[in-house]
Amino acid sequence: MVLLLVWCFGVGSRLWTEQIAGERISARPSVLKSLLGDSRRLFANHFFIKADEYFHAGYYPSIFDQAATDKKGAASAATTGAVTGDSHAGEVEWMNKPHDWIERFSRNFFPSDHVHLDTMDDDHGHDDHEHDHDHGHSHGHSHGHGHATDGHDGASGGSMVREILPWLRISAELDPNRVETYLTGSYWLRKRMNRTAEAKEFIRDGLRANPRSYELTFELARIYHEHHEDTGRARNLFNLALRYWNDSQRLAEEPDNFMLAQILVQLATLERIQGNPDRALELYQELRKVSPFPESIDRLISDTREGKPPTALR
Amino acid sequence: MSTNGAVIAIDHLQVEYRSRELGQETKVAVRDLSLNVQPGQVFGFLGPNGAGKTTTMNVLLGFVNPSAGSASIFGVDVRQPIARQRIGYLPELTYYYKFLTAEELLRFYAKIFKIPKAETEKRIDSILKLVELEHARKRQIKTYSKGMQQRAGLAQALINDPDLLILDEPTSGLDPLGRMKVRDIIKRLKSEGKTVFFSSHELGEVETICDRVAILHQGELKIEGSVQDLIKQHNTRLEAIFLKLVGYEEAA
Amino acid sequence: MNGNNILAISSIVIKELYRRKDFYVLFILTVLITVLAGSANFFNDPRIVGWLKELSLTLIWLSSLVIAINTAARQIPAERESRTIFPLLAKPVTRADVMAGKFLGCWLACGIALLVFYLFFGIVVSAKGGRLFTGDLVLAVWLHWMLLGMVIALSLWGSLLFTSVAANVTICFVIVVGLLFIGFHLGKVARQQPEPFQTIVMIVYNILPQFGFFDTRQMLIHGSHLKIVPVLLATLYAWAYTAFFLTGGWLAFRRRALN
Ligand SMILES: Nc1ncnc2c1ncn2[C@@H]1O[C@H](COP(=O)(O)OP(=O)(O)OP(=O)(O)O)[C@@H](O)[C@H]1O
Ligand SMILES: [Mg+2]
Repeated sequence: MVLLLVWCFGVGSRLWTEQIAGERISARPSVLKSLLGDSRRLFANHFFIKADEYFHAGYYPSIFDQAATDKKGAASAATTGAVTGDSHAGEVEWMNKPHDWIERFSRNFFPSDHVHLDTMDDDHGHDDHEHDHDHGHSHGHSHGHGHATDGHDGASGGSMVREILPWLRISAELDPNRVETYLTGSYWLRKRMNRTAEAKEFIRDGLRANPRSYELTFELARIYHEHHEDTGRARNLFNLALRYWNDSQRLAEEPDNFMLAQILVQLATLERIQGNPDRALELYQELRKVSPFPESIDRLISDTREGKPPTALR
Repeated sequence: MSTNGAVIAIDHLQVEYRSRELGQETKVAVRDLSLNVQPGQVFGFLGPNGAGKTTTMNVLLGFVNPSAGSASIFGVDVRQPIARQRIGYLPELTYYYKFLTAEELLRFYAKIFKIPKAETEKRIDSILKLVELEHARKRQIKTYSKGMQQRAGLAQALINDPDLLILDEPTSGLDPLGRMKVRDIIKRLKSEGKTVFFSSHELGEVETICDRVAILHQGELKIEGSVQDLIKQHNTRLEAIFLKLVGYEEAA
Repeated sequence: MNGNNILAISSIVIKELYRRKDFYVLFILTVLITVLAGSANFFNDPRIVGWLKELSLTLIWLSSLVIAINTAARQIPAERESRTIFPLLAKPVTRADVMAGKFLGCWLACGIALLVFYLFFGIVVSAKGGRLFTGDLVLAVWLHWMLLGMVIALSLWGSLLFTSVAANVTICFVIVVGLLFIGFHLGKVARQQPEPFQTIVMIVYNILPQFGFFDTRQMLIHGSHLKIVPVLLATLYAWAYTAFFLTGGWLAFRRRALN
């Protein structure tokens, strides 16, 4: 009975959040904070993981499996995509040959086919932005991992992507300061659902809670760039992202150079499009310092010097 | 003592309640009790509070296992469930299923006795009339007064048309009219040839309806005999005999 | 044991359940929460149904466990407390009859409750335009009901071991929910232990009832299909444990003094 009450309470407050969120009342974080206290972070994490579970159509390791396969920390590998890219190794390994009859038999009662929702387009390659978008941030469904899943049609994939979204929204309500939630949500919304307006709105929600987030600003810039063709606005936003990055990361012990590279690449491209090759060259020089592949930057620099039009980044 | 043909035969019965707490000695509730009740008798089972009356009845109904001795009903050991087929029992204190109506309660018990449907309804009608609960038959038992519940209890004891009734203080909690009613019912059962074994603290009432009585004190049988014989023998009322047996000396 | 007695006793249990308010309260609560949640707007996409399935199924599971454990745990203590057990056992009824009748009554009553709950679930999902395979739903409900059989038998047994109903309810709830969550993973835990703990945990893992076999919520949510043979095997598994718990309960009941 007590458990049920706790559950109802949790659900109740969630619903309430939903409604308030619908009405766009900005007072809601404090309400939630006082209701749930610090445990709301835990809940937020739970729902963030839930989103990932939906991405895998229920084929998902429990914390026990994760503890067994991923020594670096369970939740992070499964949801955020380890920077080293070996989260995928853990991902396929958690359900290998069953050890005993219970394990074997139990697989009849929960989804045990490894399915991803992201196989609608061929994303096994390493084309620039797919790779970098996921790799450093947000979600672990890293296309860069290049696992070839097959046997599900795009339509069902598309209809199931939508099921991820509520969990992200709930997670964001519970922990508005978790930036990756917004990034992940925006990714699915604009890439798969073609809901740019909602994606933009979600990122804006994120910016309201995290006004100086370079990641969110960067994502917003990309929306303007890629979906609205509003180069000018996108450029301003990329610049803003760069400034925020400088504010928060420049003096950090381990600066997020990966994200810096993203900002610089995008911004430089826009500067070239807008006819500011000098500014672009400046940015490339900056980029060269942090890029793991300085040779490819050199190529970009020489392209710019020769006045070639930039290759599309999308 | 011959047990031949006895409805209730109790033979050197001993009941002990072992206490859970260490150090507490076991309580002997019934000590070496032997008793026979013959068919057709109305048998009064008397004794002060804590004498062991309820305990004895619990043995007869198989709720409590004797530590020594034995008991049988209609010649069947009380440990066999079938021994209870022809018994009607009214417990000392009971709240019946509160969420049932009197009618449903009786129907439930009738089902256990495998009484056919039509017969069940006929019996329910007549029994509810007998215990004067007809007006409340469709009300849930939780709305009943104490006396009404006691009557519902009496009604359930009668549902299988039993040959032996074991009634633990059947008149407690009833008003004078109710008591008279119960006495009438017992008399009527006797006239139908049934055996009634009941405990009571109402010695006047015992005197008027019982054929035989037994008086128990601290688990031991003090006296047993026909009411008339006892009164003649002691040349006084039952109440005086009772008080003398349990050790109360009238200031003389 | 006597089938007639068992049926009579079980019918009383069912009558009690639908005359009490617990079930209605939980059902209305589930409906209310689900309907409210269903009206929530996520990114202006009305076709989102997965999270609603998840929420609704979680509520159904919780409600069903609460109903099953509470109903079963109360049965015999209530009989003893109100002393209705005396007139009952004064009839030609054995304690095994009482045990079996109580179990059957609780199980059937919970089955009826499950049907009501899942009917509502089906309506909600189809109203939202979600996919739902009737065959899978039927099998899922069946497995759920089999699980409740084990849970009821366990709580009945518990009600004869523990003196307080509240303690029994809490313990049963913790055991059931705990086994649902960690049952499958004890094997992994065991393999990480040194001997002799490994063997001990392994034995526990194999002996404990794996309630997880009966929780097919994720299959329903993600549209995976249940196969009939495993469902039948799981049913036999459930019956074996149910019989074991009932026997345990009966032995405890038989030894127990009534007053
Ligand atoms: N469950 C029990 N555990 C321990 N002792 C008990 C138990 N039940 C009864 N006793 C003891 O056994 C003795 C006989 O009790 P019993 O209930 O048979 O008395 P009684 O003759 O029915 O009294 P009353 O007239 O008050 O109903 C009492 O001393 C009582 O304390
Ligand atoms: Mg008594």
